[in-house]
Amino acid sequence: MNNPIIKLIDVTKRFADNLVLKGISLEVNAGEVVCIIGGSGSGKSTLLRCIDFLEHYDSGEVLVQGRMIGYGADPHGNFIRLPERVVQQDLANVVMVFQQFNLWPHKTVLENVMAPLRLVAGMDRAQARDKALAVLGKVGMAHKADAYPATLSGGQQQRVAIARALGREPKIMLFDEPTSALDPELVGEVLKVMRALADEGMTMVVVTHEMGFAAQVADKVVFLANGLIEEQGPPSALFGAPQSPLLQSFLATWTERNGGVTGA
Amino acid sequence: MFDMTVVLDYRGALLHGLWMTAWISALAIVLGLVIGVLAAIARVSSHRLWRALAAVYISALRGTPLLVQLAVIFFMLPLIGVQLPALLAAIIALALNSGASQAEILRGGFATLPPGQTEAAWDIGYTRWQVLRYVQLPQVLRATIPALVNETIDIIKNSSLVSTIAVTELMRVAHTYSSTTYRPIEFFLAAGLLYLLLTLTVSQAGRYLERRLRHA
Ligand SMILES: Nc1ncnc2c1ncn2[C@@H]1O[C@H](COP(=O)(O)OP(=O)(O)OP(=O)(O)O)[C@@H](O)[C@H]1O
Ligand SMILES: [Mg+2]
Repeated sequence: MNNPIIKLIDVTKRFADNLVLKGISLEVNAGEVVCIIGGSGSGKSTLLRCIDFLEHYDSGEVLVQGRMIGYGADPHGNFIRLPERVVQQDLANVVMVFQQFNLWPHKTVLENVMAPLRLVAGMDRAQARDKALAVLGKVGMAHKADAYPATLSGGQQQRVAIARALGREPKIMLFDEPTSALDPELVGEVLKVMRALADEGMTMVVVTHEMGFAAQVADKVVFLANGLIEEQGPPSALFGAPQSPLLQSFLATWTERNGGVTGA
Repeated sequence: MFDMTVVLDYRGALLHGLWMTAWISALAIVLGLVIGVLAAIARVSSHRLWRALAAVYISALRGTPLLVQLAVIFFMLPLIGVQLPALLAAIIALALNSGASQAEILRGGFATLPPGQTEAAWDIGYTRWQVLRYVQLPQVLRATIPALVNETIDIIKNSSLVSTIAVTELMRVAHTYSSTTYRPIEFFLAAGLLYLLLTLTVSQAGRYLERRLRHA
């Protein structure tokens, strides 16, 4: 029996009277790459953000490495919100990479990567610097260590953001449309880094519109529609023989706009 | 009959007044910044009580004249048994007054920060305090330097009001000697020039700081 490293059980989330996730159950095994696809507003980001508790789900369970995220029982057995530090501890192996990079603009590339190593991992300056330069090297950005984010292209910024995440030595990386804010010619360099991570066995959950990436790299593709998992399976099945009419029309629209699924 | 040289005989007293004005203002602005940061945070806190307290504090101190605030602290607190020396009362009143203005300035600064930066910091393991200290405040302070410099200049000018409770700062000195020498024009002009010197220094320092902190 392999235990899934991430497990969602009947997760729901509402914003005011808008029920955005209507009961999501999903398993991700260690080392797997799971791509989440679906139309705008279908709940992809919300689902991803529930995993690392950037959104607080309303019911169901999110389990990461067997631990329930965000909620627990007090000594009397009552269901409670866990303190933030506990939540962060439970999520120590999970990091998110955002569509808008979210680098800190007042810090250089090196400082962006070093700061969490100093403040969270407690490394001394020299250790943090070595580690930061190593992860920056890994994404091909060591030569820009002293640049400020604003002077970099979107693709470069996203690679720095990935390096910052890698500094925390995560076991699980969540990507929310990491290439959607990029000019088309810059998408490739980021996908290449992500592919390399996948090859190294990183567990990845990726919300993406890059169907080529999903087709080639994903172990499993999840199609979300109206807050529910409409269909999931290996990419060959989802892209080759979609069952759900919603997925069929989603893919048809996508193909119309972009050409075949095998590109990228 | 106008003769600026008379003030030269009193330059020691005037410079002492200038020095008092400078450090009273400096203390008020720094304390005000601390109060302002706390009030700005309370203003957007998730606790209703904190939000309400901060809102009341800010509107009360921004909506009443400094002279009234000085009077309340200096003359009314003794009625409930709190006796403050004039100098301390002056600094407290100026700091509270400036804290309310700085809270509003900083709140504007916080509002312009993209929430994603904070989210990324929390996600990567920063505590709330670290997010504030290392992500938000450096950027907010940088973005609000021009407004904070203006606030400092306001405080320097407003500090002249503490002369009313017998604190011997620049205005008080000018006032005293203008009556003993019957040379009000010369002394108030001298005081004005010294205030101008102080405020120009502050605005130049602000500009320098802004330039230093601006990057590509
Ligand atoms: N913080 C929020 N407050 C209120 N409503 C929200 C919030 N975040 C998301 N929603 C709503 O939840 C629904 C799902 O949003 P979500 O961002 O998860 O969609 P998505 O699948 O990621 O879409 P996209 O492809 O456009 O990024 C949308 O109707 C959205 O308006
Ligand atoms: Mg989204």
